[in-house]
Amino acid sequence: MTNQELRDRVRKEIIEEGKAIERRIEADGSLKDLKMPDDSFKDLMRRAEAQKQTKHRRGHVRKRVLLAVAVAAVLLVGGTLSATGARLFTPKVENRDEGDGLDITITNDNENFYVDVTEDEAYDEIEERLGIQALRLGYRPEGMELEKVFIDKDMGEALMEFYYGDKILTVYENKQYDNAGFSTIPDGEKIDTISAFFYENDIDVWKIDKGDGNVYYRAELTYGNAYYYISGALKLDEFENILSEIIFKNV
Amino acid sequence: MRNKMKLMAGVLSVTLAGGPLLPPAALTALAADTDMAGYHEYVTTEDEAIDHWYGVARGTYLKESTCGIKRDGTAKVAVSGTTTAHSICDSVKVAVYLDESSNGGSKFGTIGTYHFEETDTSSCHGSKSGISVTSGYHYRARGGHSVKKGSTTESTTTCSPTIKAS
Repeated sequence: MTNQELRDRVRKEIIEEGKAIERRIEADGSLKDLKMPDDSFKDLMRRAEAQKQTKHRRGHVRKRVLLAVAVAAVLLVGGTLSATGARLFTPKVENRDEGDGLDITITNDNENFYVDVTEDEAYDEIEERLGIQALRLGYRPEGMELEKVFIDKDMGEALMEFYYGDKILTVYENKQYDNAGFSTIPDGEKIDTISAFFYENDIDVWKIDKGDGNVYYRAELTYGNAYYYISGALKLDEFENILSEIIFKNV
Repeated sequence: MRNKMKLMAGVLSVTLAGGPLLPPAALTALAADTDMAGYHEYVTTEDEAIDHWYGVARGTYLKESTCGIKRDGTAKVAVSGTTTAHSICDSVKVAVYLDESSNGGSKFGTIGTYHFEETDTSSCHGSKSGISVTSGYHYRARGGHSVKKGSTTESTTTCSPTIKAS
């Protein structure tokens, strides 16, 4: 990647993150008066340029620094931007100076770079970042809460984890590209086929034996330009109730 | 009993129509990058809470969606939902989910699901009354709405404000 390409990419990411922050600010009336200094962007770019000039430096992600500055400016004033809810994780971008160019590597580590989002914000983030329709739950048993959201824009993947007591319902979403291939290996035993109120096709329900006496259930489906996989060790009737009320919002 | 009428205009602006599955406090303004625009209008009285979504774009099938909840006696509520289209569609659906919160509205769980569907029509309305609930708990109605014309299906969601069961 050339220097100009890097700058363009960073600039684009900043703008996108800025828009996301604007939306959260507008949702929170108490933060409306908050303004970034006029020279913030220029200052951030100056620091980015200065960091780039340093040879053989593998520091904190430039993108993360820029994002952290923008987000922290708001968070320090009003706390979280949204109501308590799930944590949205995004991959960390590392930059390495490789002579004349800079190599960008996206890694997923356990470093806690996340923002708090509501379930609805999580759906919106998935749709905006991946360009797919997020699978939304119409029915949610009492006690089930969205806990974590992972979105990998470059891979076109998202993962939502709903905690339900000591169980976890996982919703995996994958954007399908024309020039990409994605396959799943069938596993388990098909035990049922259900109809969902807002989904046209029947959905097969599979039972997987974990080998320790416990089982979990899974289902997969496609909608538009994406593939979806839902799994969890819930009771079968609860799992099927959830499946039967999934909805995709396209307007 | 004097009714207090509170009209809350939803945050709209954007071209992303429909609304969140969460109450107005969680609404966000979204970037314009979709095919249809709409906005929510929330109406709350002492006994009733309604979310009415209006579509404002032309050339689409889904026109308006509503869902509502109201007190229906002591420890009882009624819910309703409506989906309307701009023209006769093959199928018009509405699903209403009754959510309950025992902790003042912080967390909800679905305790009732009600489906309604009409074919070859421009609207679908459904309701369920006399639903037994727990006094003092908080409740809301969430709606799922869809219209289908040929191979095109348009769907959205609504969510009413919360009421406290008497």
